[in-house]
Amino acid sequence: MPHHISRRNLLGGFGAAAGVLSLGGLSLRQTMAADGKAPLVVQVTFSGGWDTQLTLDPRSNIDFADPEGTIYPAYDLAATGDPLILDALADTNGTGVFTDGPSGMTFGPSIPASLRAMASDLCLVRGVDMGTLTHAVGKRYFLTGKFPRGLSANGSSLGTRVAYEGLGTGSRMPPAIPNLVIGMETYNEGLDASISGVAISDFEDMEDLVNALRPETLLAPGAAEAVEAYLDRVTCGELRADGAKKVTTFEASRLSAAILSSGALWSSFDLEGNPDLLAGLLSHFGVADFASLDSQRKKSYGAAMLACQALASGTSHAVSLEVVDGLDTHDEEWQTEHSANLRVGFEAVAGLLSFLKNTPDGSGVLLDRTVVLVTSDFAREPKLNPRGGRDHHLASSCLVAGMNIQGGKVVGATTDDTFGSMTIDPRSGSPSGRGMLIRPTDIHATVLEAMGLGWDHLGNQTPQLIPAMLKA
Amino acid sequence: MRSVNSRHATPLGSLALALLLAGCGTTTTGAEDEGVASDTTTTGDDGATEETEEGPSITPSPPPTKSRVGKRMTVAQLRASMPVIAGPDDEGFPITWRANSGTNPTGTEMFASNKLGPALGDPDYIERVEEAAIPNALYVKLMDDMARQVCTNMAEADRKRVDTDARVLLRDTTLESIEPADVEANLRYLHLRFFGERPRAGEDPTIEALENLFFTAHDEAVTNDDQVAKTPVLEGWRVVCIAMMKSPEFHIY
Repeated sequence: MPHHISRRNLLGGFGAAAGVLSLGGLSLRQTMAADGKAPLVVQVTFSGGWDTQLTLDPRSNIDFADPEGTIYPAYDLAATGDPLILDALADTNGTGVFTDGPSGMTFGPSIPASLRAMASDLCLVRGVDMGTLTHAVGKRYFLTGKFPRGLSANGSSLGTRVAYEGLGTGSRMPPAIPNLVIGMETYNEGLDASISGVAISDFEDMEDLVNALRPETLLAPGAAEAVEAYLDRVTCGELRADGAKKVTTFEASRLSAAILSSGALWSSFDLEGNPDLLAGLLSHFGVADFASLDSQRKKSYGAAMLACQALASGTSHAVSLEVVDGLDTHDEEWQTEHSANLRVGFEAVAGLLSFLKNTPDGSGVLLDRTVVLVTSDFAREPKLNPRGGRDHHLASSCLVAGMNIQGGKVVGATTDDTFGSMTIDPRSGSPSGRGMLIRPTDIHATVLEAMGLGWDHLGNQTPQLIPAMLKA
Repeated sequence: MRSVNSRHATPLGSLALALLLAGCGTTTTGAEDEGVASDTTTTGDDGATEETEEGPSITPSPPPTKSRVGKRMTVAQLRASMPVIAGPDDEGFPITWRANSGTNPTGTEMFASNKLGPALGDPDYIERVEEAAIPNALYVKLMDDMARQVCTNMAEADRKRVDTDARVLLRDTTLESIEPADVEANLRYLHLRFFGERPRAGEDPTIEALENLFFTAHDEAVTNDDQVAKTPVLEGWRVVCIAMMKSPEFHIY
């Protein structure tokens, strides 16, 4: 079968000034009331800490060729596990740095052509000061926009915040799974329980989540209504009088669970049973036959395809997904695995963006009301360690695209001596000795501003908007 | 191939309307519910002294409201509890939530780490070392799946059991009885078995609600003669079982 997919293989293992002006000063609720559609968000995570020299913040392999230098891209060594880097070096006169013509943006050799082709839609933010070299802290900092308390997350995930803002607008019912989380952590601190992230780990989970109850165990209509009446009594009674938060969450989950149990959403995710749907999705990833993909691509593409369907079908307002893990390469696996893993992850991001950019939505496309934020725990050291790998580094990057985000734009920079974060003028995004140091909390505030959402919850982190990231 | 049987599909509209509009206004809660009726003394919310025919008396305060934050059962707790609650099938195999529609007694347990354990919050000890014991929509939906399968199997096992004393779902009643006394007795037994609490003596609103549920399901099965269980009485108990196993009282402690 040309498109046969095992469920396990399909998404197997896949396991948050100027903007205000651009929205005319409308609040989210006003904006949604005007067009009836909520803003969407996708947060994509590369777990383990990515090498930004290979991707979003490259250096010339010729200008920085000294292994003893403070910055050593070592692209030729990274080609050990990713031969396509050799092609990149050949195509770039040995520098390994791709330059997009119109925007002048530069990309490292592990960024696939499919993503480079969308440079005019991308905002690259460089020199993001992560403030930590601990995986859990860096990952959770970019998830919530708040620096963790110890190792514990501080605040709610970006997806949870956006899903929360989408509740209770007009007469529309909230989406069935407002906040879908694929293969990663999710947090809800003090927000409505019904928008807590629904975390799934693989495609079988998704089928169990959105497919109907087994017919051989169903209830007759009167009995089903009687059961719900009984549960209404229970959840309104003694248990809730206890003020137990878990009971409130349980109750809030019942309506969504009932929609899921109806099986009405399954058609949007039954890729095995709908070859045309699958083929359409795969076309955005440049693939004709899913079965021919390696396991890593099945996982990464699968997660991205699920995100596409969750957003396009109106099932979710927020999707968080991990497209790559295993990037924590302190040893030789940096040379044998890191670049190849990064490439797969960015191929998935490119496919996701292609889908959003080409899917009609009202008078525009889905990307017009979606913000995509791509992050990692932190970066990796600019030079190799004695074991041939790279250790953790503070100055990272992120990629942002979509609703009210300025495409073809580079914001921030790292130094050419220590690869450290440079302060910037937030209006221009260019380095400025008297400017601000970019932090994840500033990215969160700016992304929320772009979506017309408030960011008061970040207040104790003293966030600063970066107008350079926003469309004028 | 899973499909939705429209005849039996959950009436989403009704449920949504009920959840959105019904509210909780008719339910009595708190100390009023928990106080024990007395011939001579009434218990107020604050345990105040009240005048009675025998003169003033100091009444004890009502039981304190639980202050501990409720916890959802972990996957391990569910996995261990289910065979104990559901008992064995007619061949002696423990009834639990299994793959393959639950008809295969050796099918993989759905709580397993290679099935739905992670989706229910079980840590994988690679990426996650803490249980995500959140009763979110996924959990509630899957517990609905579980309740329907397990309770259907429990009803069928009791029907087939030769030793009537070994029945699990219908222990204090018979396969045929719809006598209110039998129904109440069995509901009190099930309340203890499923929730780990004895219902209060005399009138108990939970037992009354379950009685209504039993008779509604039974009567509908009689009228339509298309119940899942083999008899209307069994269908009534199957539906009671499902409701109790879907209840937050079952999952949160």
